[in-house]
Amino acid sequence: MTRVAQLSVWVAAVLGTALIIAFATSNAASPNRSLAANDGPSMRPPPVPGASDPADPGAADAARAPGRQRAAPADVAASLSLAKNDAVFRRVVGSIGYSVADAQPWMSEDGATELGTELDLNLDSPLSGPARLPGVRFNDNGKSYRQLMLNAAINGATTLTVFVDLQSQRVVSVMPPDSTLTELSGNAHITPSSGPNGD
Amino acid sequence: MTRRKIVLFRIGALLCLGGAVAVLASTALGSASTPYLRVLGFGYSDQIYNYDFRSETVSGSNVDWAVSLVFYNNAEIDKVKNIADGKYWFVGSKQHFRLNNSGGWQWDQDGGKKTDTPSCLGSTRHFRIYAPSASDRFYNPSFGYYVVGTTHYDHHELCNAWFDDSEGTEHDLANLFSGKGYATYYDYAWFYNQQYGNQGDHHWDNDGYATYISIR
Repeated sequence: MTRVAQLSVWVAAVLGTALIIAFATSNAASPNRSLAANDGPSMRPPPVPGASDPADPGAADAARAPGRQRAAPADVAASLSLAKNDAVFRRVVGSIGYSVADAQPWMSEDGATELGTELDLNLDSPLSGPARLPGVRFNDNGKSYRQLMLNAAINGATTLTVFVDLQSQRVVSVMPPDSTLTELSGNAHITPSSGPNGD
Repeated sequence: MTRRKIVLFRIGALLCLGGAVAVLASTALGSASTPYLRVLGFGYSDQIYNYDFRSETVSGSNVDWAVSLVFYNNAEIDKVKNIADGKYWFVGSKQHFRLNNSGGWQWDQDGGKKTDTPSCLGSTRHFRIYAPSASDRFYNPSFGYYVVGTTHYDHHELCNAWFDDSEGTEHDLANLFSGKGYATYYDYAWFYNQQYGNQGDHHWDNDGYATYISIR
């Protein structure tokens, strides 16, 4: 009787796991199903020398594409207000004025939750000198991040990319362009989870 | 606790374990998501998904980057990589690609080529190319021998890592191959994968058009 009970537990567990897997992947395209002839649009054939270019079958769909999404004006205003009052951000920019060139929403990895705003700033004059720059590194699960402070020398930056976390109400990243950065000592280097060759 | 309760507790624990395994199996760590995942046809029953994947699971919540390159005419994976080798010399980590080679769905993997090693405050452009793994190229009469690719830009991989600019790397490769005398048709065909916006450290910037490059 005990063996029958144990067997029933394992059968139930296996069936339950199969049910959960089926549920978890129910929105996934099945890679093994046979495809109908009309499954997926046809791609534009390459040009042929001496002949006119074939039309792009996707042109009508392309015309309907939504394009870039800008951050909501209220989010931009809230993010700028946080930046103006953020001690780390103020220490980086000093007395240099700036304006917003572009702003985009910053979403969670699955695109479902808004974390905050990306602000792309133009600086009124070039920024140079040593700095401790705030940055973020996402954990392997992609759902949370940790804050880093990076030692760098900046040489003539005229733009900054700033990330503001509207949930924690903090500026979490301030980055000049790579071409203006030289790493200074003291930064802890982290081996990517994908291996030493990076992503 | 009665014997019956113990059995029920064990069932619950095993179901939880099964659920955790199922979730881990369905989505790889660090993947991004898209609503634009779909099958594209190249004729003669050749088909691909228009994104590569973080693991061997076809799901819009398990994608890595959008397909934005087609090398055609007389292309082959190593041949294309060798042409790009002067600038794209370093090997990246592998991702996964689902393709249908004239009636048979299969997976391919590729680490692609990068312009530099990972660093704390530097960036590396990166492309991966895919084809049926047995031949390292597709063939059909319209495209000849062809392979497809995804592009992106890796930043600050040893420190505050983020990833973006598919479009910029596609453009960089178009310039590279054009400069070497290969007929290049930038943003030639709509691939139904236009995607912009920030998802965690994965920043989409892809206009939805793929560049075609004719390999001799």
